[in-house]
Amino acid sequence: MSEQKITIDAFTPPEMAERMENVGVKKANLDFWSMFALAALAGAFIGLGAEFFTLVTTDSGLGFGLNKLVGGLAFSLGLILVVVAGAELFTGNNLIVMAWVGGKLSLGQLMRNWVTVYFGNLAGSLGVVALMYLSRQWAFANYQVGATALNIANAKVNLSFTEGVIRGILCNVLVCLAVWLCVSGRSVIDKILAIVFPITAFVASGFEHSIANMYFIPLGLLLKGEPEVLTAAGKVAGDLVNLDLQGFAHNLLAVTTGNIFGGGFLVAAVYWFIYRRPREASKHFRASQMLDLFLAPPAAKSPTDREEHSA
Amino acid sequence: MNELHGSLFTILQLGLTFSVCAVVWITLMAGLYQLVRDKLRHTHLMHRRPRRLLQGHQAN
Repeated sequence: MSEQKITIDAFTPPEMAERMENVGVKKANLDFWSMFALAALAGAFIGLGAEFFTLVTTDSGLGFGLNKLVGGLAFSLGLILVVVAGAELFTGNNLIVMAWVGGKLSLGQLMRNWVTVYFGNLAGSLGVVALMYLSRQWAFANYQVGATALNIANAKVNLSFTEGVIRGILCNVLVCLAVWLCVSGRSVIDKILAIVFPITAFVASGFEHSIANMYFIPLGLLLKGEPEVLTAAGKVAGDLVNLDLQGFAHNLLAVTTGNIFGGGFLVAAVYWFIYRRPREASKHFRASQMLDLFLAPPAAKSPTDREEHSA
Repeated sequence: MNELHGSLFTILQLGLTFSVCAVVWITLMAGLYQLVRDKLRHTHLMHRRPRRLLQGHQAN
């Protein structure tokens, strides 16, 4: 009888890079409705993590740093749910860039995934916002929970475009590193431990996550109309002039741009370059090879395409 | 000295924001172009296929 070899060692970085490319191809080839439903779940999971963060950072009695640390730990719930339960998160999916630069996907396939997942995440986040608002959970602790949520949203819409981009870059470097570390793990415990520190670091540092902001800012927009919350926050309507749909769109544009650059280029493309680039070809690298990534037809032809060409 | 420091900081900030936005938005635009092109090609093929099948039947 053959003995099955059981190993508990983590995957090595070159193995992780190979696994990540394959995972990217699988994710990009999901059918539309599965992809959208998984994305809505991820948006909802991140919304739940954001809600937990809001609750524990309200009136915690801790100092600045410890309060942030506890909030970051609480927020990790979102990504743990995404990774362990399985869902499609836009910021994590920026790692699919590895499969694109590796030539296993076309840019069009990558974009199909990103656009579907982005709007799926938005739908899931807005669903959690609606549930949280209707639950009146924001009235806890004499409306202090609502006041915290309002202050978070107001701070986000008052960031400059540059601040939004740079904080978005830093955030998604850490989020994608968390997902990257997860790929090294074999068990659920491995994955949870891999997630907690990078996510706590990004939340505690005040970096900007586009999908989390799809929860924070819309909730702030709703709470802006609640007089008790305004009183608890010590704000008047004039203090919240930027907290509107335009402020939301401005924040998302800056933060999403930063997230894509941080996750897609600074993590995925860099690791692809280190572990997956073709060694021989790199000696004779031509600009046309780079252009092929943007202009080349899809790597894998659909059955319809094959039929057409053979006809 | 402070003014120089301030100007350098602003130039650096603007340069970084501009280059990051350029890289990301050009990639997104190229991707959306490819996505739309692939969709159009797929739709075009789907329209042509029944006609070809029909022609095959008539030939038989």
